[in-house]
This record gives sequence, C-alpha cells and structure tokens, in this order.
Amino acid sequence: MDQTLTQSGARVVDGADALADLVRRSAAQRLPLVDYGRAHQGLGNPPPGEHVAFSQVGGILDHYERDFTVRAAAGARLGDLQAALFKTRQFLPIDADEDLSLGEVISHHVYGGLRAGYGSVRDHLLGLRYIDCRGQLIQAGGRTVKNVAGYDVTRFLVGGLGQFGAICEATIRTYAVPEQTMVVDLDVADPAGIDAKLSPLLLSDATPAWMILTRRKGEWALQIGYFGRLTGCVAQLHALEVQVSGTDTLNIAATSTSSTLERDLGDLARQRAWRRSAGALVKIVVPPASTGATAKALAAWADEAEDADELLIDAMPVHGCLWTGGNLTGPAAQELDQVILKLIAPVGGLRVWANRPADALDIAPFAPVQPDWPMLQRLLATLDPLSMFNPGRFLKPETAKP
Amino acid sequence: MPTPHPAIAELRAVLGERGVVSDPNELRVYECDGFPIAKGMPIAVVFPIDTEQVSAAVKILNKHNLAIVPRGSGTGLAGGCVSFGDGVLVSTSRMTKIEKIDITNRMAIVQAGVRNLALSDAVAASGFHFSPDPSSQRAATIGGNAATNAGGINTLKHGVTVNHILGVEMVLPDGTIIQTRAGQLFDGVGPDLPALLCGSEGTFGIITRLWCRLAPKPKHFRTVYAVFPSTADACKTVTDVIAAGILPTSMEMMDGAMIQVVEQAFHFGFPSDAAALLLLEIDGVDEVLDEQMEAMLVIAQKNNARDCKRCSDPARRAELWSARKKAFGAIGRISRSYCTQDACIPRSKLPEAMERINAIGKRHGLTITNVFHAGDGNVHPILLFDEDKPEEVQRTLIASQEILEYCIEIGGTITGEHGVGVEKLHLMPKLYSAATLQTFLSIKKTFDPRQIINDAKLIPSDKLFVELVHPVGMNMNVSGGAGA
Ligand SMILES: Cc1cc2nc3c(=O)[nH]c(=O)nc-3n(C[C@H](O)[C@H](O)[C@H](O)COP(=O)(O)OP(=O)(O)OC[C@H]3O[C@@H](n4cnc5c(N)ncnc54)[C@H](O)[C@@H]3O)c2cc1C
Repeated sequence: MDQTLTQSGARVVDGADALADLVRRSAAQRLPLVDYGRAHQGLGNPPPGEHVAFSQVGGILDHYERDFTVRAAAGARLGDLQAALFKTRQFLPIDADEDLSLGEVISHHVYGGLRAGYGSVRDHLLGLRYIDCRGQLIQAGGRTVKNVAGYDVTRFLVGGLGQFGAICEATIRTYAVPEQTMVVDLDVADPAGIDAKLSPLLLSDATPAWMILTRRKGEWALQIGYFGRLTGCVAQLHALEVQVSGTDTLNIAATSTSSTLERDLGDLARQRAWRRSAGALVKIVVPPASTGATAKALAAWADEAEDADELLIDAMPVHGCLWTGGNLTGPAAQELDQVILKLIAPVGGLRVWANRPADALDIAPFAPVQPDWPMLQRLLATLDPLSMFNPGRFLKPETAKP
Repeated sequence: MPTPHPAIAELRAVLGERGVVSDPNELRVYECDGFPIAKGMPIAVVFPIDTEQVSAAVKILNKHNLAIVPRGSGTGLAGGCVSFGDGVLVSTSRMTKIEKIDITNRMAIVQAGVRNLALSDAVAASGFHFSPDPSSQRAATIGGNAATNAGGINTLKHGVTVNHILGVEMVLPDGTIIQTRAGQLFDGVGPDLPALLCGSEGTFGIITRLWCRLAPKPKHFRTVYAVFPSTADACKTVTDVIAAGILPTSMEMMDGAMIQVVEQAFHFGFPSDAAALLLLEIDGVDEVLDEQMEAMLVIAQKNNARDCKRCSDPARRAELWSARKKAFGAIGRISRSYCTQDACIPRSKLPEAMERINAIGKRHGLTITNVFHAGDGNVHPILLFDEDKPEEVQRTLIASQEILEYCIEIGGTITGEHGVGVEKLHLMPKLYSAATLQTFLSIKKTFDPRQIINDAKLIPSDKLFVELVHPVGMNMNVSGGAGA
C-alpha cells in the first residue's frame, strides 16, 4: 500500500510527469482521483469515500505573444494568467473568477456575459494535453489557429467535468485589450420583453461585447458592455438608443466609459460573487429567445413562495443561460426545481444544480436526460475504463445513468 | 457484366430505383473526390432521402459486411469520401431539406445534404447567415463541412464549422440513430459531443441532421489590397496587423506566380512583377472601420508595400473575393496537374516558412505557388507538376512531405481544414504520439466497433494501402487538384 496516496489533504501536483505518476500509482491501487475545482465542489454527485484529492501547480509555459496564443499549466489561476497577459496588452476573454484554474474553467465550460462578444473557452481553445487513466500523456490539438488532424478531443473535454482524463495543460487564443470599454446600464420593466429584442439588437451595430440581465432585491437590470475605440463605443451606444427607443421594456439609465478592462472584469466578478456563497445554485439553459421569459417566471415564483423572495438571477440572453439561487431552504430548493423543470420542458431546456442545500441532496443534479448521455457513457467506458477520474460525478461508471 | 452484389437488390427494395446506382459507367464519377491522386471504385452508391432510409441502408450494408463510406458533394481534398475496398458510398445529395428556420433563436435545422450556401440564401432576408465559408460553399454540403470541420476565408474572426454547429444527428454503422445534446441549446451538460463529431471525417457514422447556429451577417466592410516586393514583407504585415490589436475578418495572401495566374484570368490590374499580394478585410462598426483600414495600410507601407488600394465599391469587392475563391481553378492555365497542401503553422513563422517552402520546391526542381489564409497561418503551397512524368509526380509527393514535416517541426499541423483522409495518414505518427493515436482508435471503435465505416482513414493502420509517397508503379492516375 502506497501510504503517501492515502494521507489527508489534496496532493498538489507539479507538471505532467508528476501527474502521470500520480495517476499510475493511484490506478495500481484502484484509488480514484478527484478534482472538482474550487468553485464547483457541489456540482454533480459526490465523490466516492475513498479517493485521492489533487490539484495542480500553475504557471505560463509559453506566451507566443505575436501569435496571440498562450500555453499554460492547467493549474494556472485565471487571475495570474490575466495579470501576466495584461502586461502585454492581451487578455483571455473569459469572465470567470480569478481564483479558478484554467483546467477548472475548461472542465466546467465556465463562461459569463463576455461570451456574447467573444465566444466561450470552447471557441478559444487550440490544444490540450491530458493524462489518461493509464498515466499516458495524450496530446489533442496544438498551437495553431486551425487544426483538423485527428479527432477534436480538445473541445470534447470542454465541460467534461473532469471524468475523461486529467487535463495538465492548455493552449488558448488571446485577444488584444480594447482601448476603451463602455458600460451601459438599462432599467428593465419586463425581462420577457428582451427576448423579442435580441435578434434585432444582434443585427444592429449595438451587438454587445457582453450582456447580462440581473435580478437583485427584486429589481431587474440589464448591463451591456462595448469594447473598442471610443468612436466605436459611442456609435454602438447610439445604435442601442435606436433599438430601445419607443419600447417600454428597456430604458438606458446610465453609461460610463473607462480604459481599464481589468476594472470591468473585476466589476463583473463582484456582480456574480453571490454565486460562490449561494447554498442553492442552479444553471438553466434554454433556447436564447426564452431567457427573459424564463427569468420572469422564476421571479414570479420567488415573489409568491415562502423563503424565496431573495432569489437572485444572472441571465445571459444571447446564449440562453441563467444562473439562479440564493440561500434557500431545502424545501424551497425542491420547489424551485419543480418550477424550473416545468418551465424548461416545453422549450427543451436543461438544468444543472451547482449547489444543493444539505437537506435537498436528493434533487437530481442533472435533468432532464439528454439524448447524448448513452453515447457519452460508452465513450467514458472507453476512455476511463478504470473509473479513475471523478467517478460518478456526472456519468456513473456502472449504470449508464447520470 | 459481373453479377451484382446481393446487397444491391435489398438496397433497391428500401431506397427505390432512384436510390441506388450500381452501373459501373455511372459509378465512374464517384471514384475520387477533389484529391484525384487517390481513386477507388465503389460497388454502388446509395441516395437515401432521410435519416430512416440511411439507417435502413446501413443495416443492410452491415449485414453484408460491406464497407460504408459517407459522401456529401465530393469536394473533399483528402480522398475521404472514396471507397478503396468493397464499399458502398452513402450519399446525402438527396437529403436537402431545410427543416426549420428559427430566427428568434438564431438556429436552423437542416438535413446533412443541404449545401452550405443554400442555408445562407434561405435566411438571407433575415440578416443572418451560416458563417462558415469554404471556397467550395456553393457545392459542399453542411454535413460534409461538419465532417471535415471546414474553414474558409472569414474564419480568423468568425470561426470554423465547429463554432457554428449546435447539435448533430448521426446514424451509426449498425443503423442506430444518435443525437447530441438538445440541439436548439447553446450549451449542454457534460463533454462536448458535437465537437467530437465535427471533423471526424465520416469515420464514426453518417451525419443526417444538423442544428446550425445562425450568425448576424456583417454589414460594414473595408477591403484593401497591398502589393509587396517580397513574400517576407507581406507575411510580416500579417503578424504586425494582428499584433496591433486588429482582428481582420480575412487576410488572404497570393505569391507572385499566383498573382500572375489570377491576373491572366480576371484582369484586375495587379502589377505583373509583384512578389506578393495581401487581400485584407475588416468588418464591424462602420464608424471605426476607416480608422482601422488606415492603420493596416500604414503597417503595410512600413513593410514596404508598393501599391495599396482601398476598395469600398461593393461590386469591386465582390469581384476581388470571387477571384480569390476561383484562384485555384485558374491554376489550370499554367499547369495541368497540381497538388495542394494545407499545413497550418503559427502565424509568426510565416516569413521563414514561405522561404523554406520555396527552397524545397527549388531543390526538387518544382514550381510551388501559394494562395492561402495567411491570417490563420494556414498555408496552401500548390505544387505544379506534369502527371505524365512519373518521376516528377514522385518529386512532387516527396516535396509535399518535406513541407509538411517542416511545418510540424515549427509547431504546426499537417492540415488546417482539408482533413487527413487517406492523403495525410502517413504523417499522423509524426504529429501525434502512439498513445494519442491509440486514443483516437479507441474513440473510433466506440462508435464503430466492427470498423466498417470509412475505416483506415484518418487513423494510420496497415489495413489500407493507398501509396501516395512513392507513386512509381502504383496503380493510380494522377491528375488535377483543387484547393481552398
Ligand atoms: C475548389 C475547392 C475549394 C475548397 N475550399 C475549401 C475551403 O476554403 N475550406 C475548407 O475547409 N475546405 C475547402 N475545400 C474542401 C471541401 O470543400 C470541404 O472539405 C468540404 O467541407 C467537403 O464537403 P463535401 O460535402 O463535398 O464532403 P465530401 O467531399 O463528400 O466528404 C468529405 C469528408 O466528409 C465525410 N462526409 C461527408 N458527408 C458526410 C456526412 N453526412 N456524414 C459523415 N461524414 C460525411 C466524407 O466521408 C469525407 O471523409 C475546397 C474544395 C474545393 C474543391
């Protein structure tokens, strides 16, 4: 028995070789490896009782500055990466918390309002290296902008919840820091009204770099960000004014410009800080044009329900993603779940609980069943036949049922 | 007349007379794709009209142990849709229904045989389009685009096919129909199966239906071209523009020989002694485009651009892009046969790569000309040769291999958009470790345990012998080619 594996606390692994060694040693003892990340501990089924917890050391391995590409260890913290890139006027357009590692961002497909203008990590990722269940280094993709040699295992692992292998490094596209940013705050009379406005907005010059609809203390607000030259931001603001004029749904309340993207990213992080401490937190995905209506219906339930009037909502209408929750009691979380399932059924949506109150752990973490789960199950059996990585977190090794 | 394979009658019973072609004369057009160095005759081609027919046909082929080869429009450039053994092509050319257009959700559901441009045409009035724009978009199918993860001219800013596919339905080699996560959603739970299916080159199953993301069609453009005294200057301009924080929609480059070819064909007035030409386009908010265009021109001039032209007239712009898209066709004017490579390298390596590619050409006594997606670092060296001279064909293939090996050495890959097919199989072990290739094979077997669909393509093995490197004595014809 390898005593070093079973000692308490998470092992901190430095580099691909050390990770491969850990995988081999753990596999020899049939001890699964567990890494749920910092901000996603409550996501999915809990890890098995006996396991080896681990995290990885960070660091930039290469910054190909002129190629706008960075290769970093999976353990690199997003805040450290951004700070290093900012020095060269580059950044990663990923609005995730700065203490998250790059690996966590990839494994959980973390994105925020910036996806509206830049896409998500799925779109920026060029290559990955990961350690498979036999301790072998697998290289997927590379460092070029385009690459169709072989299967796209790189993107496949995005959102994989760490069940298919242990990512040890990633190569990712960077972008130029915009000269100017403009933040426009809009009052929202009716969130459902946003749904019909979205396509015209995206077709106009008012296409946002980021867009977030929030509900705080019962009040709605829509925030839109523009990036670029000041002339461009102003032109976009004018286009937005045209879009909202004559509607009683949206009204521009304030605008501010700045030349420090860092500050804006910090503001975005503060805006979503509640999610890190929310005892109940659920992500909902619906077709984009149902986002506002879904948000409105959730709020209506919260207004009526006991113990739920503080329900917070962050919604990204461009991609049909909503985060909702707060400090709900178990019964309130159960009720919320029923409401969500009813809301998303007619539009074919899905939902994932990121945190369930301790007395509501019987809520199924993922629902409804998606058509690709059986195929994913087969792929898991192929790629991790030993059930070495986060076993059962999403796909259960034995039952084919998440 | 040989006796028809017993499967043919069964296929006819399911697909009808129009649904099966097995006459050897009619099959000739299916013996290759846009990479005619690799030819193979199928036993038959079947033309299902929907997913159920695909599934029924595949079950019959499975029962008879016949190899299955998916085919879209056959514009592929790597021999991917060609049958090299006892195989039957499953063509999607009758699966051309656009089943749903949902503008408010920016999504369309199409059958796999819908042509790329047909979808954009169908939604044109809405202001949206299907963004991936391979030069073959008039002919190529969306199923084929997804299967090859096709790129195009505007991918630097707007992405390749995988960035625009939300969901996929696929018929597996045993006839089972699978679907990825809820197609109408922009996110899912768990790993990204649609991404794995994109670029799988028909080796997992037959894509029958796709959920396509519709993107706003850019409205405002500026297009410029700049002529340079050397390819190195043009390449440096490409990296300098991006380093300046400008993200153009397209940055296309032609070298001197290519400029002459295009000039002879389209009479643009490009200087005949130019060594390189860059065609640059930006899109976005109208108010900033002029400023950005001027910044690009200043960069070009700093890099010795001799002649810079702004092109604001939409008709002229359309002509320029049409010429770019037809550039490959025009090569036929100077060489009967040519072979296009598709390596992708880090952009900053472009100047040295162009130099090395030319040196390789010189060493082998070959003319190599270039027209390519410079912004993506996706080089398309075009090697000109005479197909009637086997020794020259051999030099061409050896030079191609040297170019690709060099590109791997400098951090690049062997294919940026055309795929591996059979053409680049022998280079896969140079790019990937044995463990990575084994992983690819395990993934393939998960979808296709009996290995009957497009088998031995994309992943090297000893099963398929399509000898491209030493063509002398091989039983294959070498003729023209095409490119992006
Ligand atoms: C003139 C010209 C210009 C080109 N320009 C570009 C360019 O700019 N960018 C670019 O990326 N490519 C380009 N190509 C290459 C080619 O057009 C693309 O690869 C295209 O995506 C192939 O589509 P297709 O329908 O013709 O597929 P095919 O050639 O029929 O098949 C290509 C591959 O996809 C598989 N396949 C096809 N349909 C399906 C399906 N329904 N299910 C599963 N597998 C399937 C086949 O088995 C094969 O492996 C060009 C080709 C030509 C001839």
